[in-house]
Amino acid sequence: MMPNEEIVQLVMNQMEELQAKHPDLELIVSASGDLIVTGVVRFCIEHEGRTVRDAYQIALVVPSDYPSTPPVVWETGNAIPQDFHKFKPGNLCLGAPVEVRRVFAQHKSLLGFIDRQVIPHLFSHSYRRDYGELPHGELPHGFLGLLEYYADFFGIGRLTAMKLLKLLADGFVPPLMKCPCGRGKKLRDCHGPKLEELRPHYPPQSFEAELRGMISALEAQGIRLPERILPRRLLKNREKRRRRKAKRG
Amino acid sequence: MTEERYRTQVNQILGDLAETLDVPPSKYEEAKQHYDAVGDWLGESDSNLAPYAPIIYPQGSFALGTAVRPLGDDDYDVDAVCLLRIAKDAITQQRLKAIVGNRLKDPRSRYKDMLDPENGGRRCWTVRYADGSKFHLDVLPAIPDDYRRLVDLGVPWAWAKDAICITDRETWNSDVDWPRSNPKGYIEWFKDRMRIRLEEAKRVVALAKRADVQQIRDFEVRTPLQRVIQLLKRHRDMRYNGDSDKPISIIITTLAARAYNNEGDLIDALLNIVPGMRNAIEERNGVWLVPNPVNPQENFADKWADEPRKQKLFFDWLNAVGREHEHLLTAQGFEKVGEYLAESYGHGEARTVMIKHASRATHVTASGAPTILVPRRRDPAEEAAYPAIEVPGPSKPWQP
Repeated sequence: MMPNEEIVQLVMNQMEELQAKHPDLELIVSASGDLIVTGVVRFCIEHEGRTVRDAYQIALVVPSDYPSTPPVVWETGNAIPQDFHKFKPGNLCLGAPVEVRRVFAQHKSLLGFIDRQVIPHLFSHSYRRDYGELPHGELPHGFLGLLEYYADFFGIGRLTAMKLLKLLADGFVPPLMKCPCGRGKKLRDCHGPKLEELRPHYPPQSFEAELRGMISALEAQGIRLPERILPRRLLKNREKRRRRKAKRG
Repeated sequence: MTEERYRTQVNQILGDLAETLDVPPSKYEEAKQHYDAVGDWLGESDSNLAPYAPIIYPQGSFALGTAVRPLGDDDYDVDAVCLLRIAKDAITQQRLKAIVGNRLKDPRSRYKDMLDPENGGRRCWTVRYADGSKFHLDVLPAIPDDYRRLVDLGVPWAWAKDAICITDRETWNSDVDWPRSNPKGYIEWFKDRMRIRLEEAKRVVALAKRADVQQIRDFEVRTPLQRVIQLLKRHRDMRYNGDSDKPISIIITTLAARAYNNEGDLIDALLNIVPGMRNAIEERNGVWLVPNPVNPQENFADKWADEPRKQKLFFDWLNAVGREHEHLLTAQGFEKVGEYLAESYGHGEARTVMIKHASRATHVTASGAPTILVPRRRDPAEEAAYPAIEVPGPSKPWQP
């Protein structure tokens, strides 16, 4: 499904607010029928006594389900190398995917997306180029980076974060259950609200895929994980395999 | 991208644009109610006009299906003929104008306080409706003309038979002869110029409505000719708004209808009509002629001789229209179609049309050419600003 009239209208409305601050951006329909915001963004950011003034050429592709999901963003001036937080096709990776969606859902606007999500990312590139370090740190690559994100977000250890993630992956978040973090409180009164902050932005399958990725990454490092953190479907598969093995044996 | 592809898209865009410029059917209904009500009031049995069996019928752009929505706060301008069955030698122009006016000003008349100006215009009485409806109705007092004169001049009987005599306050004391007009004949001539496309369009509507083609009225449909005239009129309004020397609608309509070859596509029609309009203007002994097709003695361009600026603006405008629309069929032109439409046809209309275009373009993959929907806003002469951005608790970058 490509953007419909309603989305075009919404995006055109949002362009006004965006251009008031970033007048070098324009909205086009590409030859392939994509709705694209393109042009130059400029910013001036102070961080720890250092001031970064910079400009980047960018292109945002508006998705067909905008604003349920955020635009996909590209740096088009070849100023950012492929190894600086980009996805395979070259679009910028602004953060853990669920975090990008969570923050976007707070404003659902082009200006919010540029100012709060895209520019901080461009800024961290400029900052590292000029000062050799990232202003706000970064996540490790791959699934272990995601695991660190969840641990940070929940404010707990990695193993416990995986237990909470399992609830999202199984699509089963009973408010009266004892919170897996071990503080002895009910989920409702403990990490339940944090889970609710993430749950609307991803289907359970996506949480499950991330959890499975983390499990294989950890197991590849020779770390044995307790079964109760495996997502339900993975657990079932493993049990089946074991039973088959037992029969044969 | 071939020119053919730009053509298809420009064609759709101009079609949407003309539809946006068109007067909504509800306004047509409202206009009809207004002039029918005036007709009823004039013809009521206790009216002093009743013996003359007054008939009221529309003329001008509402009757031709070429009206466009007014710019800004302007009114819809509806024209109607009020025909009284009186012989020319039985009444004077002054008397005809007065008896229609008196009936409208009757103490029991709902129109008595709606006439603007109170003592009437040069040829008609103007009824101004309450602010909300944005209407004014020009009622043109008229009596039948002796149409054999037109037949002798070569006008077919079917177009000549409804010719009328009208009044003119500026000449009625000096000129013994009545001014003439032939709005009904003009409408018939106009329909004849687009006969093929008119009938085709009516058949299509009849099919869609599952109705008999006889039940579809002529002006429920729009032919490419009507669409082109609507575009031309709005283009003119945007370019010369408020200029009293701007090209007049009757010249645009007449020349466009003469140049039209029943093209089926809007852009084909437009690109043929514009140069054709230039060729349809005759010059005889230094006098520019745009004859009324149903009254060859009337020259719609008669004012050009004394007011050469009128003629200059007309040709300047016509050249610009042709050039601009040809440019739309090139990559550079098409890319900026949104900006062009906003400048030449109005921002609101351009926006509506570009939203439609964008959602259409986004539904067909790889069929389009890139177009700018919202252009950059910074004046290139201005220095670029680097806005200060707050970064409270940013997301940490990650990569798979």
